[in-house]
Amino acid sequence: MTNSFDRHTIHRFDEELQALYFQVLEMGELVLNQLCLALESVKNKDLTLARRIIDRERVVNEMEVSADTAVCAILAKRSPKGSDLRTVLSTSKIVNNLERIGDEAAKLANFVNYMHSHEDGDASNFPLDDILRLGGASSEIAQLSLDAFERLDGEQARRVIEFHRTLDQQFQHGLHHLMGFLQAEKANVSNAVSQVMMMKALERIGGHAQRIAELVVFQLEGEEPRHHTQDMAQDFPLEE
Amino acid sequence: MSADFTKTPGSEQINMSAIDLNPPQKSLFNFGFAHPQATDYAAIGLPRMKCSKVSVHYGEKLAVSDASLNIMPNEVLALIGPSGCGKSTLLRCLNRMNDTIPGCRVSGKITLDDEDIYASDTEVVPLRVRVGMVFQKPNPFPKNIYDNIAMAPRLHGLVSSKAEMDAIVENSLRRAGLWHEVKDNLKQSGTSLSGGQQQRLCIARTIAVNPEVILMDEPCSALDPIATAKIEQLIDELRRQYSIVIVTHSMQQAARVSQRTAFFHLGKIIEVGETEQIFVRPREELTERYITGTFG
Ligand SMILES: Nc1ncnc2c1ncn2[C@@H]1O[C@H](COP(=O)(O)OP(=O)(O)O)[C@@H](O)[C@H]1O
Ligand SMILES: [Mg+2]
Repeated sequence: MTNSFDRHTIHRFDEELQALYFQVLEMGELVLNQLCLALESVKNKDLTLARRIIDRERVVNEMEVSADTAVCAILAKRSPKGSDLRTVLSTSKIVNNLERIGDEAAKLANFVNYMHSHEDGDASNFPLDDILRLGGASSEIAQLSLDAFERLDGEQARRVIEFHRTLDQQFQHGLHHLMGFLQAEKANVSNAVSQVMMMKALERIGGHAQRIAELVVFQLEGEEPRHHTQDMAQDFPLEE
Repeated sequence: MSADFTKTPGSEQINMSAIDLNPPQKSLFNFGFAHPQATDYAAIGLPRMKCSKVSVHYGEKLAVSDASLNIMPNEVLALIGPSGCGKSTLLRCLNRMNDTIPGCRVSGKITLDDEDIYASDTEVVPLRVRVGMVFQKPNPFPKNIYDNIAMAPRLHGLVSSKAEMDAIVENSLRRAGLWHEVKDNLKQSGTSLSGGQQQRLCIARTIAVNPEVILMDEPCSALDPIATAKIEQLIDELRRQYSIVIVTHSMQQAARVSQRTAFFHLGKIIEVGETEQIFVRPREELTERYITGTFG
């Protein structure tokens, strides 16, 4: 499969596929930017930035609708087959995963907004190291999965799928540190829960990035790589 | 990890050394369209017909080259490919319709229930009862509807009474989905029907002699979408009883009606497989280029 958009006898079909591809890249860029800014707002406790991110979530949703519309039109008009069918299907699902990454980024911003607009104590005392480390890993895996899509690089996609495990480990470590901190400090419960939810959001972003990478493999090879049995972290996040 | 999140990350290398790479395995979800029901009448058992290394010449011209293909019980097998690639030629070999074409030579072996249909002692007329043919252009006889159906059973001595013949006519028309439309006008000329009705009359005529295999050469290419849908529905019902080989220039039709698809190119069979596999993940580059419309 190649990314050259001058293969079809019907040129308009090439144009439609190309437009869809660029739409997804654009959406990916926006979502990634949302995520990076969200982490920035966590790090700097930046309320203004957090609100901007929440505002911009609407644009991400609009982009999903627009890509969905394009996918429907291609399916209805072109009845794509072979690699074209796989491209359209995987693109549609990738868009869906991007939208959810966007949701999680907005969630992070929401928690920043929540924790720092109720100045009821200790929000600023929470250690951010684990969240930021997890955030670094999750934005990296999201970036890598989009690179794999952009270049249709199956090897990179497979590396992303494996990398997801690292993220799960970081998620567990983060939870353990936080529990230790809470026991030692008698911290505010709602802020503690917010911390956990933020970690979970970052963990989910990794899950969506993994899914994007799996879809790239499907698009290229016609079969998805083996689905990992649910990582333990999902079921028993508190077990080491 | 640097905590400057305004830059998009990703330049760092992932440390892969600690991670074991699982060998790629077949996924559970491999996007097979195969419904569980699809196995109800699945192509199982021994092949009904078998082509082994069949080549066909028209004079000096090689039209089909070394084609090997099985036709299974209860399957619809679609033959697709660019025009002139030999689909009709191979189809016609299956009931020896090519015998009358001057200069046409068939080599290789074709069997029906393990009998060589080109053996010197095979009679062509009974073969064409067992392997019936429906053509592109509906071709009812210039007779009334009843006689269109009755002719072949009469000719082959399959009936002994008027009542029996009536039953065959009704049953064939019913199975061809035409009975309700014509039952009050059986004396009407077959050629007065609409194109779609004529084609269903021809199918009724073919199944009146109880064949084993039905060959169809672009049976819907002269029909509108609604008449086409009726024929496709009929094909799906007939599959319970017969094997059907259909040549179609419509990939959509092949995808809709067949369980297996064979792709022909320049007289050769490039790829045969489950229809879903052919249209979702073809193995051959030529097939991929044909079905995606990226041919030269
Ligand atoms: N009766 C015939 N005499 C000579 N050549 C023929 C005859 N019928 C078909 N051919 C040639 O054989 C090749 C295959 O034809 P055909 O089987 O009709 O292809 P398809 O059905 O795939 O369009 C073509 O090149 C065609 O010109
Ligand atoms: Mg033909």
